[in-house]
Amino acid sequence: MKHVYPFAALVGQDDMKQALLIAAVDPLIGGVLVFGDRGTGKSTAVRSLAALLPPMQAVKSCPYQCDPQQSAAACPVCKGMRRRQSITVPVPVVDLPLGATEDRVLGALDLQKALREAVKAFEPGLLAKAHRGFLYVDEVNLLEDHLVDLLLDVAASGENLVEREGLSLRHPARFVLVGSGNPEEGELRPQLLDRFGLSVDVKTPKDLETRLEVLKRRDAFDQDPAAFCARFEAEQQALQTLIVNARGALASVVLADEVMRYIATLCMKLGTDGLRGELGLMRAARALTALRERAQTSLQEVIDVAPSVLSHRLRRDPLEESANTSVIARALRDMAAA
Amino acid sequence: MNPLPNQAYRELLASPLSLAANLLLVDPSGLGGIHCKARVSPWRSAFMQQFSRAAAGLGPVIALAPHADERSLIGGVDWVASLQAGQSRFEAGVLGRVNKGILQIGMAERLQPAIAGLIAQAMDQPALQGTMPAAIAAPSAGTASSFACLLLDESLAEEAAAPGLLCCRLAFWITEAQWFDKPVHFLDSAVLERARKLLKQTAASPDVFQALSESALAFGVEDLRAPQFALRAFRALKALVLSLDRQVPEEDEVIAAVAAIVYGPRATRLPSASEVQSQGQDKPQPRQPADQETVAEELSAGDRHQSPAHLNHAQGEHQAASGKNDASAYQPVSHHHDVSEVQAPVSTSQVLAMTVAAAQALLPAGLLAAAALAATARSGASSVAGRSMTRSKAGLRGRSLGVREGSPGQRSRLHVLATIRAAVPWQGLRERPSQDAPLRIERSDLRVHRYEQRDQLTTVFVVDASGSAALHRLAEVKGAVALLLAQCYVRRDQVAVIAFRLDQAQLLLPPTRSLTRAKRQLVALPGGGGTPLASALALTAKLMVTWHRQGQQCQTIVLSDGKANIDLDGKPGRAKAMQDAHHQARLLARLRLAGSRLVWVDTAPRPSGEAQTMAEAMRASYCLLPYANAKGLAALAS
Repeated sequence: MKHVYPFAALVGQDDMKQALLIAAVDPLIGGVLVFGDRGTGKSTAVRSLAALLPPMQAVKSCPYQCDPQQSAAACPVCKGMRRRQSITVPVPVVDLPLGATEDRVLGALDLQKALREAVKAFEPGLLAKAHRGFLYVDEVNLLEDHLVDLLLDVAASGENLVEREGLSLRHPARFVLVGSGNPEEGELRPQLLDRFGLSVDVKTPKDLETRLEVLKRRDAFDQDPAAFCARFEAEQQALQTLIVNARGALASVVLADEVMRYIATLCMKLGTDGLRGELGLMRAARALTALRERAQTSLQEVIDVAPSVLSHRLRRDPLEESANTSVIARALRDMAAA
Repeated sequence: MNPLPNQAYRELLASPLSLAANLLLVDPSGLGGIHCKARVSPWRSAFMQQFSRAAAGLGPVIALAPHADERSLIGGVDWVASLQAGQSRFEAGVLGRVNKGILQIGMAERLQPAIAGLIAQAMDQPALQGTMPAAIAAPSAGTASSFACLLLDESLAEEAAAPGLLCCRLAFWITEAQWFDKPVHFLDSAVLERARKLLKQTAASPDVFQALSESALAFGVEDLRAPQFALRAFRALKALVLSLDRQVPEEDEVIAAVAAIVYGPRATRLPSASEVQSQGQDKPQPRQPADQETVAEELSAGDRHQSPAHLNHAQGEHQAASGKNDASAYQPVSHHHDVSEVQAPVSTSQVLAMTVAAAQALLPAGLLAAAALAATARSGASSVAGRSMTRSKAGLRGRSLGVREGSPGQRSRLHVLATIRAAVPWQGLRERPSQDAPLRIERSDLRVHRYEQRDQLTTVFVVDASGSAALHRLAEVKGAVALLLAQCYVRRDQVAVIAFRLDQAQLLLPPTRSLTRAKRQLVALPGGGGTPLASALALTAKLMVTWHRQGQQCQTIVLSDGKANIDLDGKPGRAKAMQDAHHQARLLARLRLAGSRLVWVDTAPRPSGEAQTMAEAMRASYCLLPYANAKGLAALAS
């Protein structure tokens, strides 16, 4: 088995790591967008996520990795099964390449079956593979328009509807969308931007010590991946346990009225569109509370997640110079003072 | 002790391309490859031949077809073989076949970002399983493998270069065509082979890590991949020297050589004098003294009156730093002689001094020219996303958008695979003409390619930055650019800015659709001075032709009062200047590029007709807007 750079060994980039962990705890958060310069470890972080996540139970020989605990009605394959066997599989982290065709993303007619057995069968695409896992789009701002449309539709409904080549079926496709990109290469469509629950800006670390540590760790990994992974095995395990526990605790996290009031006031102050800001902030704060192994959400958690939840939801005036994160920081300061 | 073991080593260091090529052959997958910016020439062909021969020992050298698509890269079902055999047969794609070899990409500047993305992904993860259809992920077929890229970029200075996402994964950027003039030496295959074996064992001391990290910051190289490449290059070079004469090389000399070749072309600033000269500091000192925060950041602080002073300052320091090396600037090798005579443990500042000297020739051309510094500082060496926005106009070319039902003909091409796919489900029902015919295809099964047809619109602002009203005008143009870009993700249009003042015109903002990039580059807009209208129009014409060739339609908006006073050669004199400007305007009118549109905005407070005559000569629509404002300009463009 090939070794992947362990998540626990990533140096710095705490915002990005926090956002990814929150999404791992609560998939309903709606995805993570990582924007930043090249060579800041965006891809490394996302790709290391797969090894970190605890394996999940899935129905055997179901191409959509359905959850055996849930009703079989939604899945065209499970529906036909008399008994559903359960197996343990890793959580899928699927790469969506920029140039992917619609066939590959949505799925298409299975030609092998059609030719050999004269059966009209469906060959699942990347969306099916990503069900219950993560769908990673690197350079998401360069994604072709027609693919963006597909993604938006599926991400909104949690279901992939296939009507092509005489096939007509729907299958579940719920995934956490993770996008990364470099803002210098183009802006993101607002509709797609809106789909991401969290957005973080990553910057290249500028201090020598951090950079030195990155270089050392990367080199140690390249020289002997197995030994390096073994070195971080304990930390990796601890993180995994943390995620499992946090998932369990999520439902019982208490959000006091005053915290809710704070959230609402903050969003009103910033003038976010609709109620998505409030809802996202609530979810993210709750997930972070669970990750910190606390029972009750305090203002601190809200303050910690606010920039990543709200920065991409603010109406942006193109002539405005200051970054959205600083607008949020100012609002938070004002509220602390008041 | 002679620090240069023998002739071969000296030759290696003398030419960056030699060094890069040999190091790449020692550690192909670790170093990623070479980005060669050079146009077709006998030198380049000779180099390519030599390189292919030298790389033959590693694995296959595969040239990527310019029209390569996703399928040819990652492989898929071999239809002909499958239909004949009656069962699925797979064929490996280029990425699968290039196993441990070299992928040679010609005309890299025309590479589609989607294809570049796939290649980059394959370089990141040697197993591409996640992206393949289930059937192909079977071990039988094209799982990708580790390989190195040789990117041949033929872009001209003002054109966008190869996709940045690919370039940043390659260790070496060889940017100057003239290096192909120097002979490129390849070491014996036996030596390279030995070096590859030694590579695993070559150690790098903590000092090396420190020195490479520090010098990356000193050169303003932020990408964290760069120090990793430098480290790998260090190992490769050390292994190479060991394999040449089995003698441990001078560590700081090796560091300087790899830092120069990896950081030089990526540099966004030059190490300050204090960084270079402070000797014998064991502890890491703060890398960026207060007055030397990255130059670009100073500029982006928006204080444009201060910036020229700082630029001069930086340059002055650079000259002080390299002053003692002036004699050796052209001969970095002989310089190594001098410095490494001094026997000392690796000292970063000393390494830095050597690196600066060795990097002289490798620094991006614009870096040393104070005027160009602002433009290149943050964005590095043309990191635009390749041809990301170029669309072909012909109906038979361009990015494939999939297929549609229809008969092939003049404007469309048959999509064989999709046609078969459409026909397959019906085979049971259809009567076959004979037993031998595997498929019966009817008219309703025919599928044809659909291609990207959209044209790209680039709005070019040509701004008169001369005279007293320049600052106001530039500010409003900046606003208009921001407004246009804010809506450009809907229309996918691009914006460019050309400014002219003093004695020449300058492309301030290359075509972009990124608001972030535009803001960064338009922060420091200088104003004042003469009006070199003729050179502005000449540059505009040149760029419009270039962009048009790349498939963009240009809409040019000139903001000026039309009162030229600097002629084409940059000399003052109103009569000659006006004459030159008229001439250029008429040339511009004669271009008649399809789909292009010219607008002249007269910014004179009291219009006196010069601009109108000029606009007529240019066949531009004329519009009077004495107090140019951002909203008005943006409306004019959309």
